[in-house]
Amino acid sequence: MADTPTAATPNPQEQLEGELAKARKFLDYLQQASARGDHADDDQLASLGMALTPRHTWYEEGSCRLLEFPVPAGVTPRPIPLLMIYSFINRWYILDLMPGHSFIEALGRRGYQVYMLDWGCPGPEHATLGLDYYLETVARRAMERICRRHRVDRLFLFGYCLGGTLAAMMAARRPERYEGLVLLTTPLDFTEAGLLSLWTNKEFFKPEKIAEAYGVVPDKLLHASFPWMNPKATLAKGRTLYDNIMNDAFLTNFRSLDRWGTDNVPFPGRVFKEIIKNCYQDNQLAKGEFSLGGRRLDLGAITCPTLNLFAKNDNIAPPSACGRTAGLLSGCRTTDREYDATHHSISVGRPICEVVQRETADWLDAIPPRRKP
Amino acid sequence: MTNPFDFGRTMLQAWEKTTAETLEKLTHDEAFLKQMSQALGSSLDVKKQMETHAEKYLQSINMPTRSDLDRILTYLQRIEARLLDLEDRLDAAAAPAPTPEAATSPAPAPTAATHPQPAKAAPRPMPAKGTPSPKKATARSRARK
Repeated sequence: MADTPTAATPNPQEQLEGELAKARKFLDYLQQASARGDHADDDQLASLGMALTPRHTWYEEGSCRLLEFPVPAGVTPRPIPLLMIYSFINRWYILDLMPGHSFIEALGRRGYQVYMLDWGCPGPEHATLGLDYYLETVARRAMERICRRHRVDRLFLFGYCLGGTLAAMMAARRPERYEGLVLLTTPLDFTEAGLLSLWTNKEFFKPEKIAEAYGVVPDKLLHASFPWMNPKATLAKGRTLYDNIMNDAFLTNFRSLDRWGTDNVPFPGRVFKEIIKNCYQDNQLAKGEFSLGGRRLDLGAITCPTLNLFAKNDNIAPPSACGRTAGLLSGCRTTDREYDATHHSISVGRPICEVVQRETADWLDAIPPRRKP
Repeated sequence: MTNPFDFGRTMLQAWEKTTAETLEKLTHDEAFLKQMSQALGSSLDVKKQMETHAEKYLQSINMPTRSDLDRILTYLQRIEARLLDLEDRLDAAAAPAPTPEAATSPAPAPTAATHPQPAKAAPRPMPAKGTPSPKKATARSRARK
């Protein structure tokens, strides 16, 4: 007796057609992704519905530029602006991925005038520029210009991932210039920084050799290594996409994160050497031995309130590293917040990112204004 | 009979699982990482040698090398930084000092129109010879003061 098809189990013909439709859409996606190229410009980001919070470039310096995100119309601007420091890996727009998945948009709605320091795409001429240049010249200038424009003597500082490490260096160098510090998935003590600590073990990994040979460390080299921090997720990526290809909401989120993940930038060689050797290999920042602008940095010198946000399932900046921050910042009140999230979902994955954004804005709101000593 | 799509998916998942386990072990294995680093180091040595030879050859035929270009770009970088420093000094001299009150009262909403400083905006028309640019004139008049 032949089986009668029911509504719950499609017949083989329907199933074949369904799989063919999925395969067609999957191949279309791969073709489009490949046509998008290695780097996204502003037009491409806009066409993908990404980085849509209104912004303009205030000024540029070398490869860097200071982006300004005006407070939306109808929202009362808060007196103290906020400067975001991004990492040297990938691009800044993870913090403004899509409407509803954007830290910048969320802070803007709460009245914070956000500025983002975009390191840009370094070229061979930036190979010999170190953190002394990027933090003591470029970032210091950005901070001073923002303060002058808003007629304040302090601002809020926000750092994401390695950008948080840089932000902490800035705050330790000039503690009197910051009203509050937000560290999002930021390691400051690198003794237990997970797989990256193992990969950069000083017994066999020589960052100076890579920096010397390449000048600027190619984006392809970095892009080739990061996916293998989580081989399971990397291998399952294609199948996950295929299984959910007919789900438009999933596809939009996947596309934007995929675009960001493949939009890599080269790493200035000297900065690469300084970060890997001085931070990952010698843990100089935590030991108080890291020098910036000819002066040793003491994280204990940071006096502004600090919010330390990290994710439980983060394999890039693991909680074992981020959780040690409060112990290093002995001169300020540090608030630790650990979320059940990953390195990326803490900033762009709903619903957790909404909680993180709201709690960050609440924390900033609660900081009482400091007076000049 | 098993559905061929389900069968394919099961096979793929099994492959993913075993490959991920192998890669997981490799990425945590110090001996493997050491060998990878050595291989990378050797390829970097070869790259460096080739570049040194190319550089020497270009020098021998009086052609500019990559190092020459990098040097020029670095000079430009320094000049740009100095110009921005000067711009900052002029701004700081013109701007009122921040007051404690300013930090508590809302700052005026800055817009691009009130702070027109796009460093790489549309190119300005070249002034006629002998005509000082408005920026130069301002700098001079401020210097006189």
